Amino acid sequence: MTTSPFPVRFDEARQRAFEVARDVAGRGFHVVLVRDVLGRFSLVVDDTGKEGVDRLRDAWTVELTERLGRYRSDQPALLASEMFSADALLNSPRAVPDSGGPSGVGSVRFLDNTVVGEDWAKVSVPEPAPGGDRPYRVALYGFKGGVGRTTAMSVLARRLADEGHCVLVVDLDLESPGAGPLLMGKALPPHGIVDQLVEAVVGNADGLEVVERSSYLPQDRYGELWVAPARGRGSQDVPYSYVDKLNRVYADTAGASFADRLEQAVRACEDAVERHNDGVRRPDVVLLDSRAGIHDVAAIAISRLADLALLFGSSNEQTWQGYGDLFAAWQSTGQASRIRGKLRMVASMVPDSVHYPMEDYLDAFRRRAFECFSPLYDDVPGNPLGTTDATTEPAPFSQNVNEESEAHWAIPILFEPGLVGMDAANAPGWQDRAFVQAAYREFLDTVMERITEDLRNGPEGTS
Amino acid sequence: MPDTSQEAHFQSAAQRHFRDADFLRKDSRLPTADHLYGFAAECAVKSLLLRLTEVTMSSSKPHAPHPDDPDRIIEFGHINELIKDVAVLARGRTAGPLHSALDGDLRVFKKWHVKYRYFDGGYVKPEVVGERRDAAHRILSLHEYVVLNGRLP
Repeated sequence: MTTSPFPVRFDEARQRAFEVARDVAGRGFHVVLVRDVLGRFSLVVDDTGKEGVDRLRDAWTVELTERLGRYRSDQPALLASEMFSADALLNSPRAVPDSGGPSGVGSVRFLDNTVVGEDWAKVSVPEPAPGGDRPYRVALYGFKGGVGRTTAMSVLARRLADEGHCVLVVDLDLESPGAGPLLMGKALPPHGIVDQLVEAVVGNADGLEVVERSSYLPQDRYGELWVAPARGRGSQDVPYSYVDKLNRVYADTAGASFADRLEQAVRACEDAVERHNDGVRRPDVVLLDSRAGIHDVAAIAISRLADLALLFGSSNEQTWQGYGDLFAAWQSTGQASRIRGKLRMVASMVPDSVHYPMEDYLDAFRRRAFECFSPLYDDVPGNPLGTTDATTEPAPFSQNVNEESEAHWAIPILFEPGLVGMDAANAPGWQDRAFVQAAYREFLDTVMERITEDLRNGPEGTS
Repeated sequence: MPDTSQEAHFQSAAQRHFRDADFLRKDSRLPTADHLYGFAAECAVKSLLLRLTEVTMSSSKPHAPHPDDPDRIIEFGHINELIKDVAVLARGRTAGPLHSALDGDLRVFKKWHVKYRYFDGGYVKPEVVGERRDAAHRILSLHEYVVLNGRLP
């Protein structure tokens, strides 16, 4: 085999490493392909019970060295019998099966290491609270900012409260907080999510006041609307060092990753509502206002914390490219069948005029969304990459662009120029204006129907 | 193409010392086995320091600027000395967690000393050698994980 005169790049190295791994597995070996945080590959071969594999190991080392260039590790081929911790690696729960691998005796599993963002590849159902049940959680996310996500969240929160739910809004947009001021104006609690994260690390979170009940009076008198802002109002005596705290919240600490700590912080807010209600009522719906972009907070909110993730976007190439990258990552890490049932697209700022009717815009939007979602729909039924137990997988999705219940079938929010640049604190009653209600009508009706149905059917662990 | 970086040398030496130590221990030649378990652990720790922290090689030893005194250099020596020297680096994204991961196993070597190779060997207790073997194995396993994954567990 000749060495390419051109350097092997990151994407190419993955393809080549898998080709070698599948070839080795085709000889009857179980292998784990490991990619380190810099993108370099090692092939770990389980040689248990086999003789004379060291000669093959040398040949595989040469092949990987030639084919991967800078993306091979110092020891590109390793035999389990010569390692100190082979069992831990060969049995690692982080390693996902390769659906393109051989179907014979051997197998390929892929163990990937990244610096951030690993939670995109860990899709799960939210954990029940220690008491047994938990609220239904909805994440609101936009790949790009400025698409009306937080405004839609505040409208949805009031509608849920109007229908008698105890609603908690948690502002996870830590780098640019918005939900707190939008819903509460200046009537924020003393502390916010960043305080919860910082104080909990040093065991000092008891006594924090991270939630505040909105003064809004829902149409249903049993409804309640609570807010946990990212930033609290602080106190008059001590300066509130938001940036100093923010710069510390993403730490992984001993025994708890940032994802664990963020989940604990959300749960602490839910517990705080229950305490305010004298222990008799927890929130039954929690809205998580996630920050935009491919960021750890979004990964955790969508993959781990939420039962439903509303994906906001307007139709432009950067939005579709961004969602396409995200969906491809879920597909390649074997999460397609787990994540797609959680997702629902929201078409924000939809135009509706004589010259450009909403129906035409939505038709084009949904077709583009369908293309974008196709990596998630095209998963191989029963044998997706990353499936450790095929019997627990949900049934494959139908692949129909006109299927109104599927993730790509975008829910519209009409473009309303009156909302652009609105200062909510100085526009009391803005949500009651007829043009606002018209813009959000279909969004609210559709999302309410989904939440009501899910609550009735009871996603795992919900109250 | 063989990797001839110093961390690769430390890696290879750690594995060699450990396997030689196991060979001797099985033959009840405990004093030299104990000596080599200490070197195996030392080499693995030095490889970890070079891979994960600001430690670099001087002409003979891994070293780093002292975080609290710019006029001082920390030079990393034998395994019993590494207990306090690694603790000095315990801050930041990686060196802090590395110290946490190593500290318990480093302490097992607190009374190990390189000069014991000049003694008659009567000081050696099998259970102590066993504890040091287990600690060295854990350190080498941690090292192996870092080499493969590029980060701490």
